[in-house]
Amino acid sequence: MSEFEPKIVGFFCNWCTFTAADLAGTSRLSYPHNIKIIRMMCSGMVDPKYVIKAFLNGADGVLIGGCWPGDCHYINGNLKARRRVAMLTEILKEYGIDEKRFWLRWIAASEGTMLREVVNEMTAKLKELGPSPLNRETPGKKTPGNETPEKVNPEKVKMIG
Amino acid sequence: MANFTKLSFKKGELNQKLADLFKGMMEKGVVDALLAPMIQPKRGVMLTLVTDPSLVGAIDPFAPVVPVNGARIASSITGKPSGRKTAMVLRSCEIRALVELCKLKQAHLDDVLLIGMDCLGRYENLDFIKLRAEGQSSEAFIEKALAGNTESGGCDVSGACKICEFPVADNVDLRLCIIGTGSDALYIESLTPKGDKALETAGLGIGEAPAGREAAVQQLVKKRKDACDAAFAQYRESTPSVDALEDRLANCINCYNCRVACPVCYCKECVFVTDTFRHNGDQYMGWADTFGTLKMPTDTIFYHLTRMSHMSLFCVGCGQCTSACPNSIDLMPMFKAVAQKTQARFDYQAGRSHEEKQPLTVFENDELVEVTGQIK
Amino acid sequence: MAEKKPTGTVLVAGAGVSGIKAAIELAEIGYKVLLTDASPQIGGILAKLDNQFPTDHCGMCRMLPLVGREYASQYCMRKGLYHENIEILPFTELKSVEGDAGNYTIELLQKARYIDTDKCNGLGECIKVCPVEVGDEFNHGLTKRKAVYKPVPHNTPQMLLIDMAACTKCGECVKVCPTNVINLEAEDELSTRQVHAIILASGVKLYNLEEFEDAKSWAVSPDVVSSLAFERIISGSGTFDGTIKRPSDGKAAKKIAWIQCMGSRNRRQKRDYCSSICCMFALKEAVLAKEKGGDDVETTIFYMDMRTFGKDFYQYYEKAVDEHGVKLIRCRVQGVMLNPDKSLSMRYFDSETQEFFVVDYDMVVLSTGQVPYETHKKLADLLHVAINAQGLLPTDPYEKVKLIKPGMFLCGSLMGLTDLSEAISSGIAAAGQVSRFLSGIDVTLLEEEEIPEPTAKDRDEPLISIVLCKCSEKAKESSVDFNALGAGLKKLNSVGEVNIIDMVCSDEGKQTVLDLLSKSKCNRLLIGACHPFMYRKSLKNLAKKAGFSASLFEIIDLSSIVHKGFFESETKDQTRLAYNEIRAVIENLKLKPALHVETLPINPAALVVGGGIAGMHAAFSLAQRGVKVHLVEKSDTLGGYAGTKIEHTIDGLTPISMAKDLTIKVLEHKHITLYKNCEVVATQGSLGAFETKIRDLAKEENFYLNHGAAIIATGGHEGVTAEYEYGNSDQILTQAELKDGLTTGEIDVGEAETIVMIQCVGSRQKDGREYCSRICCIGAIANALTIKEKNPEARVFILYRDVMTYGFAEQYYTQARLAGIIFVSYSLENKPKVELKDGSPVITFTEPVLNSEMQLSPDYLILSTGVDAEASNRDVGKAFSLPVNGDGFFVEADSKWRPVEFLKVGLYVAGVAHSPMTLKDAILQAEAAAHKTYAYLSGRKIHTAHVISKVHHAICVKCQRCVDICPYGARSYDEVLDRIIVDGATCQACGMCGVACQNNAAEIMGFSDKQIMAVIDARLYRDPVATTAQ
Repeated sequence: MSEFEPKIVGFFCNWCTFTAADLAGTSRLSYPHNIKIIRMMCSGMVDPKYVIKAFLNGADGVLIGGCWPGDCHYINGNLKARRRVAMLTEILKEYGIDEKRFWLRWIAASEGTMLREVVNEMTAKLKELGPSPLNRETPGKKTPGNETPEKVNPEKVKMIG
Repeated sequence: MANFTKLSFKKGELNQKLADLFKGMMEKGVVDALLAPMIQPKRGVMLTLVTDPSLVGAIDPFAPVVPVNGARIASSITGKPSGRKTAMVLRSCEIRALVELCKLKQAHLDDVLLIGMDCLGRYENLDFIKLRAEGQSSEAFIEKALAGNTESGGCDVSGACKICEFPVADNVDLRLCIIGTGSDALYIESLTPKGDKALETAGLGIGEAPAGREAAVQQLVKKRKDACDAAFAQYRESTPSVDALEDRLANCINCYNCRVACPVCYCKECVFVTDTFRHNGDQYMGWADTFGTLKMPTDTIFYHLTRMSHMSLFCVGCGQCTSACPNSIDLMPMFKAVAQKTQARFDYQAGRSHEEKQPLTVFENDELVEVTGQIK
Repeated sequence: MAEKKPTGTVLVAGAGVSGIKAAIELAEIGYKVLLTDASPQIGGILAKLDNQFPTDHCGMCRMLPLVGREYASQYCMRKGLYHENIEILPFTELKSVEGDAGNYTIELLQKARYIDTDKCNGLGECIKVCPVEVGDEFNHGLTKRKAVYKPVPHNTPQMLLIDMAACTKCGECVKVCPTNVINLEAEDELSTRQVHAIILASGVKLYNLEEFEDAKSWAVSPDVVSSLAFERIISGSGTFDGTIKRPSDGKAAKKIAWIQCMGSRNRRQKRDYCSSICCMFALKEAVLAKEKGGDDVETTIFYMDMRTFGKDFYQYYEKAVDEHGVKLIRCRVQGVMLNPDKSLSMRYFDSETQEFFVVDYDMVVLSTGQVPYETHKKLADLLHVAINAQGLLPTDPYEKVKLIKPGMFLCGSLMGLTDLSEAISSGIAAAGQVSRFLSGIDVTLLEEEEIPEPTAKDRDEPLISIVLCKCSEKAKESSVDFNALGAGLKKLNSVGEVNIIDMVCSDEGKQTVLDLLSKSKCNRLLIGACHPFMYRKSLKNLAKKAGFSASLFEIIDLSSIVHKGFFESETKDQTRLAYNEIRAVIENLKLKPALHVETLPINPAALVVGGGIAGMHAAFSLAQRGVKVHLVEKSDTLGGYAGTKIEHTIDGLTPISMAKDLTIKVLEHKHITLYKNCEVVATQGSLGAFETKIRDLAKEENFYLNHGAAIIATGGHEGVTAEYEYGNSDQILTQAELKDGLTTGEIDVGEAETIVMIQCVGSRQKDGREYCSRICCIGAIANALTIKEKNPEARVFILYRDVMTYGFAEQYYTQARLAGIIFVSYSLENKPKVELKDGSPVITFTEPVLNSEMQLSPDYLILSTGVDAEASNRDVGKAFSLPVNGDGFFVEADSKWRPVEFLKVGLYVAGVAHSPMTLKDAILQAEAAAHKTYAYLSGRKIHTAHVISKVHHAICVKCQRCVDICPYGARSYDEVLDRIIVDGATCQACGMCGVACQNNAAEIMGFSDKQIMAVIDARLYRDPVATTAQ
């Protein structure tokens, strides 16, 4: 039974953090592969519902990546996001979801290195904390869609070119 | 400075006195209409809109029951204002909710003379009907409650009322005071020019505040606060996790009555009954696949947590959610405890003032830096 | 049957921000654009800057198009630019230009990259093995790069190239290249193209330490860096990942000094100009150094004049000094010496304290300015024009962007010395001039894309056709088993078919796909290929041909998943990785609604408010292109302040006569209707359909004008003051009054002995005009020189705080000093004092050099009272619900990237209504504003985007939280309809409304909660991590 690998859902702003992710990718900054990125047009577009759902679906952490104040492509979406995160943190805390599992970070398009550090730091933190109380995926249980599609012989699929 | 009017009454005549008062107000044109709890022939006591002064006789504002939070009623009457001056007799929880609804443009108080009344608690609807059948009168209840005992014939006032820190209503024009006024008198306090004007037109003089009211109110508030802290402590201990929350909500059938009864859940239709949550069959199958089983109806905890994110900043702790639950789940502490936290985070208090902006409608460049903890 | 007209094609030579802006503006209105750049990448200097004031952040993406925004890329512009009508040719030089106006034949030399960037996967295996190391230009040599390298770290796709000068041709790269795209023998390619107009935007060189002799003496240590190099040091993608260290030994730099005017304002070096940008540049860098380096960082700027002349510059300056504690010292630094401990000693003479100082610093930043001239001679020869007296390309006296040769234009710092917002406005203005020019010759526009309505099929149950390109299989590091992948995907619900094809990007590949898809029963399409953004258009057309709705079509970048090892470079099982990535996309595509775009009804008429020169110019520019214009002027004369009060300017312009000519053009033009003595009362509506209530002040009655867009050009006037005894003596005048007097001869300075001028009267101070009026210093010098002409004996004193002779105006400052005009600086704390002795002014001030009190009894005391905004701006602002700042000027959408626009689409600003500016700048802005307006009124169809915010009225409670939260004012509550309405053109689909609305009555179609929650499911329940954890 290998070490616990936290699952992080990353809601990344299309204009900054998402680009930083690409930058990190192209510059080959190696990542822990724990983060599952979902592209948002703006951090201000992240509905509390998404975060709640992510946790209820067993995410060990949620990371929202937005533009630095003043940098938002949509003028101030990131400031709205910050208020919502503050509110939601209070609710999650009340039901035992540690605020260390729910991060908002400003990561500009050029800050690929910072993104990597943030993801590394968060992963490490989550490893300390252990699985989220809502992470009910019993290790070893085979969940459909999880298995590698079994090898099939080429004839079975239509092949062209 | 004192602007109280004393209204003495003989035993059993409180409602009569109040009827006369409002009859007078309407006849003297202070208001054209009155919204107040009234005795309904067969349905116990309900908020009733009266436009004919001769029919205010059935008024019974202090009846210890709130079948529907009056903020909802006030909203339906003033959402699209009629332009007619209306007096509304409501309790603190109703008025605080109303303040939030105004901010959400769901109600307008321009034509409203808002009259708050001291509240000693309400019984659940069925209990109230039962007690009435056994002959308990509002006056009897007041007397008993002021003496510190609300329990009666195996029934007690709702849990929300026991821990309510607001027995006295703020943000009103007039106040009907019964706490610390002596058993034979009710005082009408005016708090705004609108109120003064009303009293004046109604031909009511201005007098001193009842001695000992303040002390009595403070004492009651203190008692309720302590009860509140105790209740929260107990609740938080019993429900520290989502797991525990699931136990608490084990019998929830996703009927959404809690949000229908909630005065600050102001959506026409909850998002959880919109297409957003009308899933395709294969989605259910997918979820079922994950663990092999799927509890139906789905999204129960999701609904309650999301509702918290929607209303906890406006929650006034009136407890209608608990009263509305067909499976007697005690929801009030669940929402109120969270509300206490979220409102505190923004130093906000639902219903405290008309001026305070709702937390998610304002935002500054350099605030809440602790959220990201980043300084360039 | 006439032969088919050619498609209007424009060359934009130079892909810095102004060139890019010009290209985008032309592409938006349907011209074909060739955008070339001599360097291997696009973005110019801005590619290196992470931060621009006033936000101290980027914001480049705000220049992306709003008209038909779906035809352009919608991501960070540092990744690159993509627009269907723009052909981008980096590493390409303009070799020759032949032909006449409107019909040019150009030769382009595309330099060899030695790497086929279309096929390169951008992963740089080659870089790992390349043995050669040289300094990296991008980081100004502070870091090293290989001979084969990525010119810009954040570009996607990565456009690698080989620096042949450094390459040893060892061939290692060729061996390891997985896609086999390196050809060390490749050659430059010369191609010939036909274009109808040309915009030159090749930018300006920056003074640099290596190249210029007189700079070498400063470069005593690697810790003496240029300001641009310092940008790289603080950049998140820069030399030290954004931490401030000194290059020599990587030790944290805590004491940093900036030296201004490096290579500028230097007559001996024949650089008698001010680079204009360096003061704000240095202030910004000093602020950032403190923010990023911590409070213990000490920043000092050594300057001659703090030239904070632009809009909101002065506020930034105050913030830098008061809040961030940036230290400013006015002096000439004499030199930098390297100490044994590597620290740097600076020796300077403090003119305020009259002492010499020697101070040590960890790091010295040289504010190296713009160097004009350099490229001008070369370009002039290329274009067969002669350079002008200033050594610059010859332009129209009033229109900076217009070369004297028809059909040729320029923009950006090639015009002279430009800051960011001017670079952008000039880019728009140049595009405007081009479209004016092309509308006069026989060319057509690119065909407008027909956007089909969703069909019944689109509304059927979702059935997805998946096409995967397996060319990546060839890439060594890709271990995707495409057969297994396809089989796995095929099993998924609502996946109809999976086709795996080799080289989708190839023509035969495309044909195969088309044949397949034409037979397909599916109503949704997912194509997985590498670098899809490179041929998105062809894939899009392919999908369209095959009958798939644009909103039900997704392209995913297999390379970013598979090659780049997008976050999962360690994951062994790339097949599952790809499977999971694609699965998430499918979940989303499945739930996508068939969206249709709205074609907005556009009233092709413009309203121009203000009949000054800016207003008239904008009106004429539009009318010339066939746009109907309503020109509203509140007075009974046209011309505004400059056009009625200023006879001539120091640079030889004659505003009054210019305004007269323009007035005639305006009055005679059949498309322009003039409304004198009229003012705007109120307006309603949105882009394409505004209705504005106008008050006729003469007739005292109201009437209505309908228009599709509006330009605000309400102008301004000379400031008023009560300071310095003004009004109490006829010897105390304003600069304008003096100018009048001198021209009319009413004021005779023949006998005058002493004349004193005070600058910044009531300006650049908290309680007054909190801004620099830009024109007073130049105006004062002009008057002073006139006086000297008339009476060389007269002593003229100019008491100033900072002499704002930015750009080439510097030479007038020099000229004035040579003419013996005496400049004396004063500080805000120690203003000159004026009192009246028997009606005549007596002025007392401190002479800093002698550091002694001086008293003068001048014949005339002249006050530079600056420029005030029109008082009526507030009312006009209210009428259009547009923001007006504390000083009464209009607030544009973005000070850098959208200088002439308002957030609400369809409303624009030009001239002094925006901020005080020179006549030429006002005309430039007018041209830009006119073009932004034209883009919507040109008659082309204006569509809303597919993805846009909608209202579900049935469940909407009209709480109006969405209205309050919308950053663009795109949502409003219509009381008559009792509904929330969305202005489809203004909405940018940012989704704020969707979150503010608790029951999704406000929803972003195509980006709905339902879709995103399905993606969250896909992301979590099908998580490869879970099973590797076994």
